[in-house]
Amino acid sequence: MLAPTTMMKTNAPLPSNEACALPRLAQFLSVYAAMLLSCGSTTQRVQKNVERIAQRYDASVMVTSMPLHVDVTVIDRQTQASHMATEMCSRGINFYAITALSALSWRIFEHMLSLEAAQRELEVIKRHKRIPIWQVTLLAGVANASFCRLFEGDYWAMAFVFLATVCGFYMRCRLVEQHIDFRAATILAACVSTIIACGPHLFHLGATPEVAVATSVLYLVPGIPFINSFSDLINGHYICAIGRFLWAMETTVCLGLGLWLGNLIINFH
Amino acid sequence: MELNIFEDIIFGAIASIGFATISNPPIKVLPACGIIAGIGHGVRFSLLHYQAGLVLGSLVGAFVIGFMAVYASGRVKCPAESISFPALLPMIPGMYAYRMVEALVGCLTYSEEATFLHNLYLFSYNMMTTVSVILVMVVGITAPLFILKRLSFQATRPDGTPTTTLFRTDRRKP
Repeated sequence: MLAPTTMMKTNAPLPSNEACALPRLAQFLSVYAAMLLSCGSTTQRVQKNVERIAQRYDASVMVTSMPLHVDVTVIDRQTQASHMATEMCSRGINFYAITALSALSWRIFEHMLSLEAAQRELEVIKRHKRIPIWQVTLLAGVANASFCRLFEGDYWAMAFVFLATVCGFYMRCRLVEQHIDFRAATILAACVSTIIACGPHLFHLGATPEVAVATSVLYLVPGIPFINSFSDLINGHYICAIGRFLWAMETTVCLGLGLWLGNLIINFH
Repeated sequence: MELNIFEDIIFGAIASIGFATISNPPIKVLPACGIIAGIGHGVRFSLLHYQAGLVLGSLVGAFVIGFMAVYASGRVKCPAESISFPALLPMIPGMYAYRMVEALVGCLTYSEEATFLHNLYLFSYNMMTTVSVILVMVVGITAPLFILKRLSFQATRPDGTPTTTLFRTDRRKP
């Protein structure tokens, strides 16, 4: 199917004690789908999970994934329809939430959870804290230093890439927390990382100063949005695919600008 | 300092675990991410060593990662993407994406025809490489999700992992 929508008819019986309030179900599914998409799930998984939950309530569902919001239309057996749209919030990629939300869809389906219980579980998942920022910063530094080695950088280059990543990554997180535009934050972080990574060139340390500069900003490359956009493209969700691809390209251009700015300041060629 | 295959596997695994933490994964998937990324990166390294080319190497590496991630997802009870996407991150052609933007900036900076054309050539080459490598990588990790469909989409089921059957679609009735 080429259009970014899907529809599925199901025959699962509705439990006798459950009054299926269609608008409430539509709202729950809409919030669920928006949360799953904004956490970086593929549209295929969103579709599968939402259909699974709708099956439990003996309803069919149409999901339309747009770049900034999700439209959900739920239709029950009496062909009554309810439509709901939810705006996506930019929480960043969150695989913990994707895992927990997928497990929740199975619990709703198999354990016949009521809508209220499902709503409560959704709130718990929303409130779950991310890995502490200092741990992520250090691990991102180690990862980017390893990346530098994969491009045949020497140990001096790795040490400076570690330092550049830690400083740039931490700065970007803090700037985004202060509600600075993520593009401006990316440019500044790339610029700072580049300047620090010019260390081996400025102090004549090691034999691969250019590898240090080139790999110092690679932690900013939006790898998962790139993968997601191509995955959506393969699954026929073209609008979402284009939206995600453009967002990823925007970030890549911003990191390129930051790198160019850093090179201009240090006068590194 | 030339890189050998053992270094490639170890640093590929470390890079995967480190970059994965940015995406807030469940902690239990990190060891699987590291092992699978290391093996996938090692496969790509071997293929590049035997002149298979970056596109074919990335396709086969991603395919290996995709299959292993689907099997591991049933064990650690999480969606296959939670393992395969972070494991794929060290293979993202970030250097080509960076060179593409660098060449674009070069095009806008230098107006002399020869320099401009050289930068345009670099921009086109790096853009085509970036796009084709990401595309084949996604094909490589998506194919196992379809081949092992039953296992892929039931990994987070609470009552145990379904038996894995190759080339069987999900015919489960509610």
